Amino acid sequence: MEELARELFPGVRLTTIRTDKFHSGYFSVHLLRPLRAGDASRNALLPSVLRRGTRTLPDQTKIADALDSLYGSSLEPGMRQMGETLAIGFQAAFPDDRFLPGAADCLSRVVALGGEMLLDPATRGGLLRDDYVRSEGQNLHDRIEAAVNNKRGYAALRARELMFQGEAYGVFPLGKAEEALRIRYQPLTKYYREALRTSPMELFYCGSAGHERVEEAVRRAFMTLPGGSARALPETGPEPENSELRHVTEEMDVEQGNLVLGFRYKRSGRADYPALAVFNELFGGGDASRLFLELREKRSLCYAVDSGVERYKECMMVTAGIDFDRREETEEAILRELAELARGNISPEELETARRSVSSGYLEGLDSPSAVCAFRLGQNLLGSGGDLRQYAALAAEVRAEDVARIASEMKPELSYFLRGGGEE
Amino acid sequence: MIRKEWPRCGVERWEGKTTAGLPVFVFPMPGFQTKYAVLAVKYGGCDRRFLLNGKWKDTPAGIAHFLEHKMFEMPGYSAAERLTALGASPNAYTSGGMTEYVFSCTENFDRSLEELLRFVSTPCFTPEGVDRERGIIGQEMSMYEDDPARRVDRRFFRALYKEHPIRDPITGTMESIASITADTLYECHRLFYAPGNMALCCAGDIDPEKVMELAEKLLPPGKEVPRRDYGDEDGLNPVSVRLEEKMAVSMPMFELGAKLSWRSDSRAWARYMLLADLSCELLLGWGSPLYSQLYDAGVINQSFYVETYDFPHGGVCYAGGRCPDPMRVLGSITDAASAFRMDKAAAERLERLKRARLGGFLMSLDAPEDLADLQAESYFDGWERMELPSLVDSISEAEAEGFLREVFRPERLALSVISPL
Repeated sequence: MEELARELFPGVRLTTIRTDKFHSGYFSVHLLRPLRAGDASRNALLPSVLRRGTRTLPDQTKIADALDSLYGSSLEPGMRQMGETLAIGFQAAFPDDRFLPGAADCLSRVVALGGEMLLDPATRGGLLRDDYVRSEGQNLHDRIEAAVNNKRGYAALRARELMFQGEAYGVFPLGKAEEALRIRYQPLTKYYREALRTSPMELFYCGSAGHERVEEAVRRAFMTLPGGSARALPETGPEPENSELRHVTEEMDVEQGNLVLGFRYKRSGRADYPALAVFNELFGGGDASRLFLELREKRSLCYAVDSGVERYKECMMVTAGIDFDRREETEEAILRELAELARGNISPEELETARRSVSSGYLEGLDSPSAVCAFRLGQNLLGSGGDLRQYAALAAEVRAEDVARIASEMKPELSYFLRGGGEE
Repeated sequence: MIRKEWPRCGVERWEGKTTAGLPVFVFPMPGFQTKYAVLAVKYGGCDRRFLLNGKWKDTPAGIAHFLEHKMFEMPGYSAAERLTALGASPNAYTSGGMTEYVFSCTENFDRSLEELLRFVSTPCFTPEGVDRERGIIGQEMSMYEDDPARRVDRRFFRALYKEHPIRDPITGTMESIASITADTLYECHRLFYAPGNMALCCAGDIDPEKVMELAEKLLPPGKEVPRRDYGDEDGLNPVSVRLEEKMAVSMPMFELGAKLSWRSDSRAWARYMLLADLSCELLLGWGSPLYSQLYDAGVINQSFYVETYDFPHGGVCYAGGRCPDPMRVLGSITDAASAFRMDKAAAERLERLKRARLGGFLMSLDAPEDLADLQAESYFDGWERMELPSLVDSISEAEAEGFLREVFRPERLALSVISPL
């Protein structure tokens, strides 16, 4: 795999990764936006509105026809959250020309369609279409409301909202349901133009085409991108100090209780991530983790238990699906396992297992064009240079002391429980 | 082993059979880091009634899934932990027609494969272990109970089928798994986990002959598998037209669809499922006139999906999603299907969909998991998946039109709805 990054315009970076390994190619374009309460719904709405139609393909049927003709290529709107930054835009997958009859040239056509979708949408009187904005606003509203359907996911969202109240990270990336309904086409058009002009942009390609051919296709497709303004993300403030552990309980009509424990930690440096990942794998990330073995296999407390360390924000969330009357027992067991790790009670075998699993995860990423590009996007945002192979090697060298140090830095701040009503 | 090649798709496959009768398939993928293996057993949630010594025997719903959970226990250790220690990620799945034991890794492939072959052929159950597992599976069921997507699906199958075991959850119920003992598990393992009823499929940068050698050495012979029964043919109309229940959801969720008439010839069945898939996409998929009409009117949204699914002796096609008025979707679909004509625009769309299917097939060749899993599935189903492009080619306009008129008649459709409290 040979990787080449260059700035197409100030603040607009194209990274191309050339490889003959795949039957498919991948292309994506992202506008980086800060996560903020006031903008959340607009950010979430924009890609869906743009995906409704372009100037030459003004409705969904025409877009679908075009993609089907390109051998089932996909071009999906998307939003990825990385800490307090959002990457909004589109991602495409298409079959590699080498395996298609004739001169299909899916690459140039999909990139051209991506450019048109972002820069040249279907408009009326020069503004985004009112009917598309209303209809996608309603859909966004329904999607936000539907968060309640997934009970575990909902519990995790609520916990985040409570723990990070007043911080950008506490903002639900889709925004608030009622806001989604209030967005009108004129202000959204204004916001869209501003986002195009001022957002830092990242574009990625992974596939068999040469760097120059991709760059040429991208330059052609994004020729009309407005320039002239600085493209930068606002600086994020310092992380707040850790506060006391507080308990919150909420009720819903559910069969199973969902417990979420939220922790904060202090990151020593950007390069620390492989160590954090190994800690997480060992603590609650994998099927050989302390939490999985202790809570599920040994005590049958739960079917699902997970810990997740956030890479772009100094926090960790642990979730477990349990019976309503076993909250205390579960919480104690989770904190006890963490304390054990902090004391350095880590066997060489479990450390090796966790290191292998994390290394292997990084290496497996090399087999997926979208994973390779997603990893690079994250690295760019953090200003880190390492690639997946280097991270795999770093993970293999993490020591027990590193894991113990990270465990000792994790401070519980919130215990949230979503449970059914009535008697225990 | 013999080597087969599909040069136009850039794929090769090695295949052979061990002396004990286990079919082995290997897709070499040079340059890939991931090495993946699946040991699949043709025994799933629907395999509950079988002929033993001349008598029909019934086993409880959820037995195949319970067995899957318990197989990882080995004398004195856990196979899952050992695989993880080797750097592999193990997992297992039970569907209606099969149970799959899988792992992926980037190192120690041979040793992990040895462990996989060993633990799947070593039953080791104790009453205490079985009781503990009941607790874990109970929690798994509670989690599914809170998942409206699962519940709407469950109800949908209940509405369609009267006898077929697909109407019961694959996990079984608290009541049904209460009667499972170590002895029942031993018996089902002995009867169904035989090499002739299994397949080993691997993909990645691996040596096919080495895979064969390990399979030859480690998988013991077994007997012929008992005949199974999937209930009497229910006819094509549903048992109930509409089933509804309430839970904490934001707006109604629905699933609606029809049974497909089963064909015993495996290639004909695979082709029929493909016809179902393309026809449904043609009538209801993203880009169909009906989809955009319903979407523009706010009747459906991005959560709308249309799919097909098959299992032993049956299959369904269905659509679902979140929507304010499921009855309106139902009415629009039956109207559109009865009015459907294969005019020029529809015929062109069908051609595009076929082309898209070809591209989708090519793109699926990049995932070692997909290659191996789909190989196991199509092997059990009795057709050659690498021939999918020619199967796609063979679907005609007249067949698609006939399918839509026939299957989406109002009397053929069942509707399952979860509505807000």
